Amino acid sequence: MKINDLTLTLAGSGGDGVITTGDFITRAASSDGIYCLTQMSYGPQIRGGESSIRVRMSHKQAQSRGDFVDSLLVFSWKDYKRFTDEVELRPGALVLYEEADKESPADFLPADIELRLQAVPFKKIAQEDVGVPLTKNMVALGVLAEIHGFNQERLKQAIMDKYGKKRPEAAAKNIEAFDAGKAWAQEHGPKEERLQLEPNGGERLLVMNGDEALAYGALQAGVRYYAGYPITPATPILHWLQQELPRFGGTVIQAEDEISAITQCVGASWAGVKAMTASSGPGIALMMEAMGLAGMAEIPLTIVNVQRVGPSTGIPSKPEQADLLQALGMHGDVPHAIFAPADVEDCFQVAMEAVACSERYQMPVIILSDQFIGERFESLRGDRFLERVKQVERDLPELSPERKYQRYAFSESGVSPMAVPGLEGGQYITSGLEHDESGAPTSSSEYHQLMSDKRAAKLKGVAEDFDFARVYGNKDAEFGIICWGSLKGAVREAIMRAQDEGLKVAAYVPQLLYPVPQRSLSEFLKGKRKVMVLELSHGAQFYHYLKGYATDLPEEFLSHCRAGGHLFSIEEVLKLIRTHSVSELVA
Amino acid sequence: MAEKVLTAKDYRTDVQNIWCPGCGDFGVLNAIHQAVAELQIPPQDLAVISGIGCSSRLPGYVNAYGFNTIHGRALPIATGVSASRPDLRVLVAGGDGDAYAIGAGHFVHALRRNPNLTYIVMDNSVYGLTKGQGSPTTPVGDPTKSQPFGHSERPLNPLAWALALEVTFLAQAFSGQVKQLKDLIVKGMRHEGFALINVKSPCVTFRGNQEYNYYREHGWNIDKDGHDYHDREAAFRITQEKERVPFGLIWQDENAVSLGKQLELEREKYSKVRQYDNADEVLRTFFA
Ligand SMILES: Cc1ncc(C[n+]2csc(CCOP(=O)(O)OP(=O)(O)O)c2C)c(N)n1
Ligand code: SF4
Ligand SMILES: [Mg+2]
Repeated sequence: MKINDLTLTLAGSGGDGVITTGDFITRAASSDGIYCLTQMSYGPQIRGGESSIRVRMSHKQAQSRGDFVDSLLVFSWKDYKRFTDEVELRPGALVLYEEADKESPADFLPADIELRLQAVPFKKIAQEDVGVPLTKNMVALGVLAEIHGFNQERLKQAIMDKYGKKRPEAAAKNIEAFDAGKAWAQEHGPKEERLQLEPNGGERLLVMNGDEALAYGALQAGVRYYAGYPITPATPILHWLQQELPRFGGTVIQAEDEISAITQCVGASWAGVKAMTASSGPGIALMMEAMGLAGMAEIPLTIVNVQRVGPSTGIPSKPEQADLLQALGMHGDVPHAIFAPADVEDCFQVAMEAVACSERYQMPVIILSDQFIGERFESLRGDRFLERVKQVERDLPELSPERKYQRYAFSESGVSPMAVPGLEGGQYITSGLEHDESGAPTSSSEYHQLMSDKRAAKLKGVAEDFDFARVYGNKDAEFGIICWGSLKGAVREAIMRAQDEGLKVAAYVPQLLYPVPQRSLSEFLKGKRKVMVLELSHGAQFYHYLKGYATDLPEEFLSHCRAGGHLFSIEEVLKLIRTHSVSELVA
Repeated sequence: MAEKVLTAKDYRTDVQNIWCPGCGDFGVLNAIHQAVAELQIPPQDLAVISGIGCSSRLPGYVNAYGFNTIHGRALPIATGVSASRPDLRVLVAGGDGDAYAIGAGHFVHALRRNPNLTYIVMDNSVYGLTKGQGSPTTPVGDPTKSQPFGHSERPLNPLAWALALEVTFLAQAFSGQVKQLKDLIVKGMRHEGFALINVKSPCVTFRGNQEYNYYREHGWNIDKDGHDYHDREAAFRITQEKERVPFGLIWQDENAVSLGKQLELEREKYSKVRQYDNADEVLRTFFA
């Protein structure tokens, strides 16, 4: 029987072209209706270091990277070494490796599982048959296509798309190499059905990473000013918006630092143009003062934090969920909101929700994404995007010459219509100083109380309008898991497997983190006797946050956490479920 | 109905002014009121942006869209305003600490970008609001709250610095000479690009009341003296002047491309390669 789920990893040095190869596989498969989830991984060298790419291919939308690698291709064992802790090989997995590599594979592979090793003369074929040593990655592509039954037409199309127009000669050589690899596999490669990926109907899927999805969401939400300073893993947002915003009359500026980036956005938004900035932990730390200004002056602003391992420079290329308390804590009481996307597609939606929230409630809104969502590529169905487009405009005042405009007029919702420059009669003074209704500075503590009440009143509206959470599993289970962000994938797949095993369990993944989405949380907690918070934060930030801010938590409220970098696997989560839902099996 | 002619009075506000009597910043405020009246800028089209400091309280005292922001960040905030709303007239105000200490990093890059705005630095050689510490322009030896035995760091020369950074409009003025200052503000606001006006604006509370006399005695009106503000070498010499304090337009480059123009060109370029009718169509670029 052919398979419908395959996880593939390619490893080599930067010059080996494994990233291009994985990218071709992802694009070709996606164009043919196969869902991919693709992750790149690099050594610390700026150029030419080790690199690897992992593609999970599946007939259904993949929820996680897949626990085990079914097929591994290694150009050089020394380069592969760096990734050994990221590649968990499935027993019986196929391992194709460069025949000319002098190292012994046994030195790099786990001794306790059986594997199917096969040496392949990638280099030799590229050199002798094609005459271009650099094409060995296309030889590999041909080999893989033949063994795993990939759509070869689409792969060749991907090669042509990349080289065809600009470098027809290179395209021809690459195609030749592909065919040579295929021929080799036809003669020497394994020919088993269980290695072959079944085609999946052919609906054309699109491919994007989380940062791009988020940037596109921002464009659709009406963001027309973006300023940012490059930082991994948020940089793709800057790159994408630079390509797209100017066409829509927007502005993108690469700022001199993150302080400039966020303050430019404060200025643009104050002037009436929707604005967004993005960074990661260290850059967000530099932005904190300006977030306080946006809070005090009630200026809409969207700030994206694509979290990486911290503190400080940490591990830029790996995810963590330990910037939650940073996002919560600013100087002074700053009513604001925090949203968290749970996968690539969700980034699109969350960007629109965040911008809508910031505009409606005139406050800074933080999006907490992470490296695993931001930089991984996913295949997605196109029809799920446009139907969700959401744009919210801020309240403008009705101005009249008889009445002096009161920028910070008290209101039940806490929102007061905001004049923007150009509106006659709306002139007022904005400042980070505490102020009265007109905006004039005051040091009266009475006003500070009143204005703090006004600003905080908005949180009620935010919790009402933006309480959205995903719930998986058995509603009436007594054991529940709470997690957020990119952990959703592994948790969701673990829940499906647990249900297959007859275990009862439910999971809750909120999109709104702050203010507490109490309505959906309380609904979820009904009947739960034991709840466990799962997170990639050594200090269990989410767990402590919920303990401090949420209500209706059960007595048995547990934490399972660890430092970031190493994602939770489906198997790991499943084990937790087996341990904790045991009482229900007995019942 | 004929448009109402705006006068300086129309730009006043009733926000309570907190400056000390005799503070040089009053002269700057007057000059601004007169300049924007001369330019007949509708108050709603005028954005006045500042950082933090005594001087940065100024936007509250101008009938305009005012924004008293945070310390040192007036320029990037104003850049965001100017770049996103090229239809507005943008005036930025602040102190020497705001501009040349905490905001120094942004100052450099604002000059590079050349946004269309006029930056009035009220240079009093002291931190007024925090009550008398030394600033980047405090002369060596002057006692300050933070260094009672005399300021030890060498002062920076904002004029030479800005000129070296290829500022496109550079002037210096004295808040005691409101007429010249007003004229320079008018010229600065007519300049397409970044106009820097460094204004000697005495802090009577923390630096005594002798500075007015000093600037009157040592002031050198380069406008009257026939300085050619297109002569870069002469401009550099003026910034190096030790005996006299130059007041007037030092340098102007009308040909430099402003940030707003640059962004317009960019939008045109991208529009040629990105031929969509609407944002929905962008989705197709993602298809594998
Ligand atoms: C981030 C930050 N650091 C410090 C301060 C305190 N502070 C307020 S104004 C100021 C200096 C003001 O000096 P200057 O910019 O020359 O303005 P002046 O009061 O002299 O007009 C300082 C240090 C602050 N408000 N924010
Ligand atoms: S302290 Fe100095 S700068 Fe501040 S208001 Fe008083 S005189 Fe002006
Ligand atoms: Mg000062």
